[in-house]
Amino acid sequence: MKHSRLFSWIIITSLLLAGPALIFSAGSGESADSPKADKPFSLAVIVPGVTAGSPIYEQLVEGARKAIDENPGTSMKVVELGFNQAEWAEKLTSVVATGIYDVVITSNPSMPFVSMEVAEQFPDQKFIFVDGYIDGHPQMASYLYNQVEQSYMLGHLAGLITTSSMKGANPSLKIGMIVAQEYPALNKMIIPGFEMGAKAVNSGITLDYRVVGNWYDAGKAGELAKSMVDAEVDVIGVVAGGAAAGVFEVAKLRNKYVMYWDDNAYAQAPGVIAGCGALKQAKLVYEVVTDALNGNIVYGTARVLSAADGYIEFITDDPNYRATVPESVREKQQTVINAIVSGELVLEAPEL
Amino acid sequence: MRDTSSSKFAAAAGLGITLGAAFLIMLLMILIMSETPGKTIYFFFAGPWANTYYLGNMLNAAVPLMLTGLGISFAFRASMFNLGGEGQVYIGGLAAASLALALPGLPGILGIPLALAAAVGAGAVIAGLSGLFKYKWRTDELISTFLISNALIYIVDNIITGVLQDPESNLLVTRKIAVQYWFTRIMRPSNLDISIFFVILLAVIAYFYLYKTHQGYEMRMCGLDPEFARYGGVNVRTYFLLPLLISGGLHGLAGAVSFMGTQHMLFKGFSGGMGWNGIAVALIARNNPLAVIPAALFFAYIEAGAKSAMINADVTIEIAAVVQAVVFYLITAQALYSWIDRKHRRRSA
Repeated sequence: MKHSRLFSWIIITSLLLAGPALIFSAGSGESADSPKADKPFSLAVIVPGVTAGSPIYEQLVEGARKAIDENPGTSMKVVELGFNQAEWAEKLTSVVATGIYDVVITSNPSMPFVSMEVAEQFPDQKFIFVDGYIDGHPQMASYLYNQVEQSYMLGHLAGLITTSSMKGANPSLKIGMIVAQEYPALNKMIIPGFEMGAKAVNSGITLDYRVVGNWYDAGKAGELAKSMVDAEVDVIGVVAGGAAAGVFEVAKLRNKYVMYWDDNAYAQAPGVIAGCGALKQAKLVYEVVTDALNGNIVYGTARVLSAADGYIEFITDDPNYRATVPESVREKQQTVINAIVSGELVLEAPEL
Repeated sequence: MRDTSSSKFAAAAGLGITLGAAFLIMLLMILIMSETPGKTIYFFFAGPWANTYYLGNMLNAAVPLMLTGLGISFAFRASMFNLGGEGQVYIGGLAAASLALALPGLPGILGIPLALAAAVGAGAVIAGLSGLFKYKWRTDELISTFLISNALIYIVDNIITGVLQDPESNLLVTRKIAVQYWFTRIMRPSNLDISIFFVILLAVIAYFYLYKTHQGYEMRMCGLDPEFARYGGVNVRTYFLLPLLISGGLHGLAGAVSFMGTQHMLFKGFSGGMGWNGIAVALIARNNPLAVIPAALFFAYIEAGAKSAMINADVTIEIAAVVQAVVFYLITAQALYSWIDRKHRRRSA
């Protein structure tokens, strides 16, 4: 037994020692990634999750790639942090600790908080957050979408549908909302905006609101949707990532409607998804990275982006939208969209 | 005598082949997946040693694995199967976090031991339930530990994202525990903290307990042959309960140590495979508490190497999971073979 244990120890210790041996053997030959004073611009694109299947992160990578491709000699690296939020800070720190990247760009309301300790440890590192908010930090610049506007537009359409005679709409003035988790941007902008939009149509409309508890459990989201439909909800807003698929399925079976945030998803459930808001994330990221390349970012500032700026929209030119929503409803909806885009209807984003 | 030596050599050679095969598969995957295989291999092996940050984080990742590996070793030594490590880690973290959040004013000298005791207690109770079921009704602990653990994960998830959720956070996480509950860091800027010394000490104590005490001897004897132990006057049924209590307690402790040292708040899903990896660690260590230390370091090294390769080259973090899975399967197959072989020999004797 002692021999076998000894043998095991030798193997494991040898493997562990292989690391430093390789460092010495590889020596200076592979040190191309060490920071240099006059090195070309290098960007780290941090995806808090995985890129595939997430339109908002796909746009983040797309926008950054476009800006980098237009500037020869610059480079970017996409790092996916995965789904275990407990590991995000450590992985982000590992990226920053390389000292390679001039700027780290990421997208998620949680990332300013996750990056705070990292910024403290590496005071020369610059961070850019899109879809996040942090003001007054000298290493950080942030761009927050005014989600009140997007949510108001979606809520308004939900209100129009629930008070309409569309197939599946019932006389009960109830709309629903299924979310993956609660977070400040949701509680302070998305839910109030959605409710406000619906109540602008009829102040008697009430909101049934449920939380899935994660971003992937389509089964549980479907169960929540069933329960809502049983309680006479006919339009459901969904902010639940992959879990939204469960809501689409139930809505399709029960002839109900779904409102979707941040991306054009009409094709995912034609006839079910009645309204889609969208964020022009690729456009924003392209502009911001180009500014960073040219040294035009003002760190320590936070900018709130609106529909009037062209970064938030309600998608009306999709054939599925026109096929699902009758013209009379679309006309009323267009009036509200125009009022928001023109600045006639002002919906302030609250402090987060 | 010659037979025993050759079987020991075969076991050691088996371990060598397993680890070698895992690394070969990893190299093969890198050659297929990476456009810059030389760079990827370099960062995979050398990355964890690049600076104190990477080295410290690798050592820090090994600490909870040492605890879960120790926990599994105790259970396996007594021929008890604990497949509920993941849930026991999770409940241990929750117990420690709940206590720390409920008593934010307690001084660290009192608060830390209390939080750790809560974690050990919670893990021990949960694993002990399976021991109790086996003691009372001969319920198969392999099934009961797994089922209880799985149900528990959903309950803990619900508590973290429900009553304990930090309403000001965009993450699925509790509020931060008070500073006096945090473990002191010893290799800045890495996350490594002083718990590593205590855990190594615990491994030494576990070794002495198992190999140098009467109770440890009885426990091992029950593991090797319960009938023989019973014939020798050992109360075998006691060892249905005790190993699982210790195993669960160590898993619970792993949960507390990992969050009190690193994140200082409890994330949903923070256990991230610690329980399952503990099984592989224990199997690599052949259930020897001292060998658990390098085995856990080996597992942490694979993870750290993959992270380094992901950040500095062009592969994804999944490469670590694949290598760990290969190690897990091959080691399990090897352990299963030894177990069948032992049964066969016992029957032939």
